[in-house]
Amino acid sequence: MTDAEGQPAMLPANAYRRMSAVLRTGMVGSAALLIAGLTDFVLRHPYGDLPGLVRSNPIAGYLNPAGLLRGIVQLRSEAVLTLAILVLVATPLARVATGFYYFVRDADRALAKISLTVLVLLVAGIFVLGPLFH
Amino acid sequence: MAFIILLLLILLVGVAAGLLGSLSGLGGGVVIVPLLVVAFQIPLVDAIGASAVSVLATSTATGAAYVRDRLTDIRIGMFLEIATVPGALFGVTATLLLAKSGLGSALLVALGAVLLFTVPSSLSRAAKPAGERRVDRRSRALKLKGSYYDPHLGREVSYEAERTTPALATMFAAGTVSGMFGIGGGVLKVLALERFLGLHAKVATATSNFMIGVTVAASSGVLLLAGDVNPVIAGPVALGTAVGAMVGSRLLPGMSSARVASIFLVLVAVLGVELVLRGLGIG
Repeated sequence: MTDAEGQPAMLPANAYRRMSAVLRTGMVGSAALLIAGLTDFVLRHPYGDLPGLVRSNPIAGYLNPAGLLRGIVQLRSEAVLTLAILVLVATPLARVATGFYYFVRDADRALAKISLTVLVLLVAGIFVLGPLFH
Repeated sequence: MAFIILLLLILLVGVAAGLLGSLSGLGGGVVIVPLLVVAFQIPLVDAIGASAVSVLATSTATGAAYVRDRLTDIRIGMFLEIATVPGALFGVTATLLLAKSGLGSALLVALGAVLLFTVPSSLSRAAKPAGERRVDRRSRALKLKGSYYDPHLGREVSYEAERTTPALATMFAAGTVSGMFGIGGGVLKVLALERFLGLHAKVATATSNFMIGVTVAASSGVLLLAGDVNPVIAGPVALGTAVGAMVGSRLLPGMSSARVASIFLVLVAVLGVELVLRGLGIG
């Protein structure tokens, strides 16, 4: 950080722009995938029923890398929907990683350590607790 | 009812929740779970998964604008995420343990209680009384201060974070509530940012929104990999809520937000009572 005493300690304007772009890109990408996946799903299952859909989650077979990749290659709407939610969840993680990059670049060790800790907690929490309860 | 009509109704519920949540400043998350459970008979954990994804979508959509306009205090937000993320992981673990142990009714009562707590907390949200400023050592060491341009005042407004320890404790609680029920927990976050850290309302709202994204990403990610996010339900809710929130933020300047907030609070209170009664087996 380069702030003088009494001056606000702000990140460079570029960091705000980059973080905003990360959030916007993630949201637009995820929304596009959601709309495409939902439209295809409804067209393929026009007489689906909600209780049945709730009982057996249609993305259950796509929650592993191999299944997801196979589904994407085959353009399965369930795989596209899984990817949409994954992109949405990954967007804030990418935002934290962007913050980490700027704190390291500004030699702001304390905030760099904090953002790295948050990132590790997020990744470890999701990939340990999620499969544990599956 | 035809499948597509049901999905369109879920989409409309999302739009209404996002719109009212945005206009009232409470966020739409607080009413999505009860509406999905009560009106669509969707199981609680699936409703929580759908709500968490919708809150994530809304926070991402509106957060991009707040960050671009530099209303968000990124340093303070990232510092407090060190408490909200463990809180969210703790909360979602508690929910999954309770639900898989057949204690879903206890969760309904707890969510009802959270909704009923939201009402007085929102009504009491007021400017922090002027008093002695207590900027602590941690705040100084981490340089938790900043400034923003206020167009109404026509000048730059500076601030410096004050009592960080109670703020961190409140953020852990906010993260826990958020993780347990798939809501943003913005009411608690904004209260802590304004009352403990002494931030101005605009910065507090933008920074709370910034933190909500990461907090809910933790619980959404766990619920997704646990198989408790059903995108066919979560998708329409998320799209609807994000659209409703964006429309609401554009309408806000020309509307009487106090009146909208009153209507929304009545809805929150009614849903809170309904959930408590259902959880107790009375409803």
